[in-house]
Amino acid sequence: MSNLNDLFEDPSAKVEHFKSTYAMLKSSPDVEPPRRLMFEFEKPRKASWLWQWMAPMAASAAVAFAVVTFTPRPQAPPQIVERVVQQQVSAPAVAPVDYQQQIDELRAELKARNIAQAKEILRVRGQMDLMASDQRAMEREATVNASDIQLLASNRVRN
Amino acid sequence: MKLSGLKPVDDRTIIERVLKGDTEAFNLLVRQWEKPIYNFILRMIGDRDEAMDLCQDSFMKAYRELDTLKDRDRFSSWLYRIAHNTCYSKLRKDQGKTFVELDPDTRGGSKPSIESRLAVEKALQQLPEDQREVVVLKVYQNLKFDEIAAIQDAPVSTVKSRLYMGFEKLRSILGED
Repeated sequence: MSNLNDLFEDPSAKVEHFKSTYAMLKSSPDVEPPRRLMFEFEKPRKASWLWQWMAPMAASAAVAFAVVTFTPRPQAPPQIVERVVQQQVSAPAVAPVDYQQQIDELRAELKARNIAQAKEILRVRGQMDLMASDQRAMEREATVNASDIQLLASNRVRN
Repeated sequence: MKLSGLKPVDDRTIIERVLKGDTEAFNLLVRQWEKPIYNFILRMIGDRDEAMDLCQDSFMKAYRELDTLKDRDRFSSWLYRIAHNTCYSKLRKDQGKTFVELDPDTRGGSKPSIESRLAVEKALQQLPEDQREVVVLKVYQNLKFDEIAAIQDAPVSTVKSRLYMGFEKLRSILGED
């Protein structure tokens, strides 16, 4: 029944009721907290002077090591060129060919050999002349012997 | 850190200072929002000491999760949401318990005012939690319906309905007194 009465309640009366309720609620104002909140935050502990210096030094060393390790090396081709040049310089130099000298040397060699061969030829010719002389002497001796034999044979026949 | 002499600072500015490492600046936020949050929790819980502890818990949680706050212009709604969760967690844990009424002598003021306050506080404690919260946030904290809806994680229409039913019940309770 009361719900039914609510449905037909005058809206302005309802608003008045709400206003009075609101006013009663507002009669209870905010109160101050019994204590004030204040947070204290733990500050990061200060590192000792050794670690204050060690940390950046270690970081610097690590960076330097990384740079040295990972930095690409200078390109190889210049080194190769340099090495080739060094090889050319350090290798025994090929002396320029002195063809005239070689010709002269060969001529001298040939001349010496010609002289030796000419001497040899003269020696061989001398031996041949000697042998021919001996042969002629033997032929003359054979002829003498033959004539002697004929002479003896004739004597024998006569005898 | 001396806070008394400082002008009220924009919440967003303070939050940015805190997130940049000026942790002491968080006390400025506490200073600005301590009283409203404490009174909100007090009206929800009805016990001064519990309210103070829960208020402190709410601010500690807010500090820990400050970096998760996306819209820094809505810090107050976010903070009320944290307080709401803290209150509901406590209310669920203490379901069945009844808190002792506040000692009128500690509140100060004239005698009719004390009676009126006690009546209102008693009436508020008789409301269901969701209706009580809407009434407190609307009447005492002057929040908008969409802000209350965000705190309660409920549609605005539900919030309005809870407010209407809360007022109806309060009218009947206070009318009886």
